[in-house]
Amino acid sequence: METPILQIDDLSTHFFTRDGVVRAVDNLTCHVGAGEALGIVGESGCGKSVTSLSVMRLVQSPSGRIVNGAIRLQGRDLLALSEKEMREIRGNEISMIFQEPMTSLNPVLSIGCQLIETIRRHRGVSGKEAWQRAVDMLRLVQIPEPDQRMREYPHQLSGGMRQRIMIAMAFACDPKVLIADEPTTALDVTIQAQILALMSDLQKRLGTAVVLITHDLGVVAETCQRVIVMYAGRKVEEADVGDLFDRPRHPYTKGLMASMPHLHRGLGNGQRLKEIPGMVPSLLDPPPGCRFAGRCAHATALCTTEEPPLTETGPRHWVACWHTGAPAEVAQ
Amino acid sequence: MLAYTLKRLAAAVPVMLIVAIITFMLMHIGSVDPASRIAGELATPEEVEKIRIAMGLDRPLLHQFVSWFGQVLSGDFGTSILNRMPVLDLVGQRIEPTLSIALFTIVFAVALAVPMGVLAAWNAGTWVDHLIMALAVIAFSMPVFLVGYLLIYQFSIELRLLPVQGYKPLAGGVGPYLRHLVLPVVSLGLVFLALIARMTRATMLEVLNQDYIRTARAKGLGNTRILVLHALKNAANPIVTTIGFGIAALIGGVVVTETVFAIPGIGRLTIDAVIRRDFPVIQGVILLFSAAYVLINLAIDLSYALFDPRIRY
Ligand SMILES: Nc1ncnc2c1ncn2[C@@H]1O[C@H](COP(=O)(O)OP(=O)(O)OP(=O)(O)O)[C@@H](O)[C@H]1O
Ligand SMILES: [Mg+2]
Repeated sequence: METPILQIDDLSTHFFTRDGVVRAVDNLTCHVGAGEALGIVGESGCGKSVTSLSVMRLVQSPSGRIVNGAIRLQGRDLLALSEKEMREIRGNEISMIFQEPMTSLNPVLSIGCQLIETIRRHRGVSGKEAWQRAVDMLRLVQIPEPDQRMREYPHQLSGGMRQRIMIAMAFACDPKVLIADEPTTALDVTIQAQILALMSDLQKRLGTAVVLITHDLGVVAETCQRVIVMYAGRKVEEADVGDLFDRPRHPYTKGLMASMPHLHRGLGNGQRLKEIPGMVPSLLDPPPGCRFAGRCAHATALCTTEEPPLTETGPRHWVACWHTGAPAEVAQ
Repeated sequence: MLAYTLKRLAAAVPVMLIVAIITFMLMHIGSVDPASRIAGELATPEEVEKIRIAMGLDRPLLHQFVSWFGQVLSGDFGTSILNRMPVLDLVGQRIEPTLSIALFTIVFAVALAVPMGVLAAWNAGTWVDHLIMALAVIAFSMPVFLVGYLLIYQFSIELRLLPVQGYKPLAGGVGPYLRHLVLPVVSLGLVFLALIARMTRATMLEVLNQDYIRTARAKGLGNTRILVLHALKNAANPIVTTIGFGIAALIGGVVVTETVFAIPGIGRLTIDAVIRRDFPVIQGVILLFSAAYVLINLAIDLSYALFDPRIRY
């Protein structure tokens, strides 16, 4: 296997708050190959956004800190870079799309200004060339009348349009990695599909590696090759997408799938939708052992005392659970 | 925009009318009889009566108001009781020092306060922030006259760097003009500076937490561009509003400053007029200040559209 373009190894990002240490991301390892789309799924609050902000080194300081691990872009350690060097990476080699298109664009600057400043920041081109490049990017993300849009302000555009602009901005400097943090969550369903299709299309055409963060397994199924399931700051399962849907190992992954309407119908076994009982535990000084133990139907004494290691249960398929050896028993 | 401006000016008419009525009534609700005031202390009761009739002060109030207001509208604010000069000429003579102090104070305060507020917000929670905010609290709680006397003592009497008091018109040379303005402007500007710095910090703190600032960082932009273009432009409107309020409050401060530094401006003119019950002057100054206030407010409202494209008039 060729070397991954983005390697995150043993990443731990903690928030040092007045109430204690919030272990938002704990020993997370994941690798993204060139041109690959990796999905990261998990419930709200499991540390997906903090993971992506860690890669950008934009975790809220001084309370949030990357306390351990390494993040490498083509072998280059991002955590060792100075802030100035990191600014050369942001928006250039790694770019990011955020969840809230309504608030992610600056309301008082024109679309053109916001696109052009990114291009000029990283490409030493003239204003005219940058304008042309910006218009081309708008065309690429299928925005009608791009020349006119350049002069408009965010409030004159719909949410879907704004997210297209964010995508145009993210792709403007041909990044090697694009991190999309729930890019479609705030949009309505038809627009969601369009935006996802657009991103997939651009990713394939431009060969960009994509990290797609979402809490929707359906989105992952449509767009990603590999997927990581996160729970309470930890990776609990990682597999190729097809493999994960065919043979989910971790009880949490199964729970997630059981709570998905369309996937479930596909199974055709007449079961009703199930939600996972209980709540994500607080990440503030979490108890020892498996963090899912409190909500898991199969938890044993071992689960509450000892943290399950990640074990390879199949080709390129890792699970962190003490009970993966008995799938039949877990499956019901 | 033009339509909006005209609408606002039209809306200012009733406001100015009310101000005019109140100003007019000033002369008639006090314990001082205007006629005897005008006649002077040595006048006999007959002479006072004569003046009362000559000036129309015996006519019904409404009558008097209408004719007075008509004159004001035609630009005639009456003549000073004290020195028989037209009020407008008096004001004209005194306007330069006052305008100079006001303008330089605004420039001084804004030019220092905005960078200070931005710096404090950017370094929120650190010693830079604490230091700037502590200075702001001190500046805010010192009365103008106290600061004025302290500065005079230190810089004029001890160090002999600046003139103690007085005013030199611009026509007499830029150097003396500016030297005489330094201490009045600083003592008047400190409170104003503190107010704007605090507001800038608060607004910037809020703006810096917005999603679009995170986007700007994620694009790799430098701090200066993020602060000045992305953040400050969003924070501009609350700051401009504060500056506007400050200008209104400045009017009171100018009076004190001119007294402390013995500057012959509108403030001194007003005080003298109040002490000596020179009603036409008092009325004229109040009307002019009110009109200035209305216009400043309008200018500030119009400036909002400059910073925020969502605001269109
Ligand atoms: N600035 C912060 N200070 C303290 N704790 C924080 C901070 N930011 C995030 N956290 C904590 O980190 C944990 C992970 O948050 P994160 O935003 O990564 O979740 P998420 O998986 O992206 O959820 P969502 O689906 O809601 O976006 C949460 O428990 C949150 O409370
Ligand atoms: Mg998130």
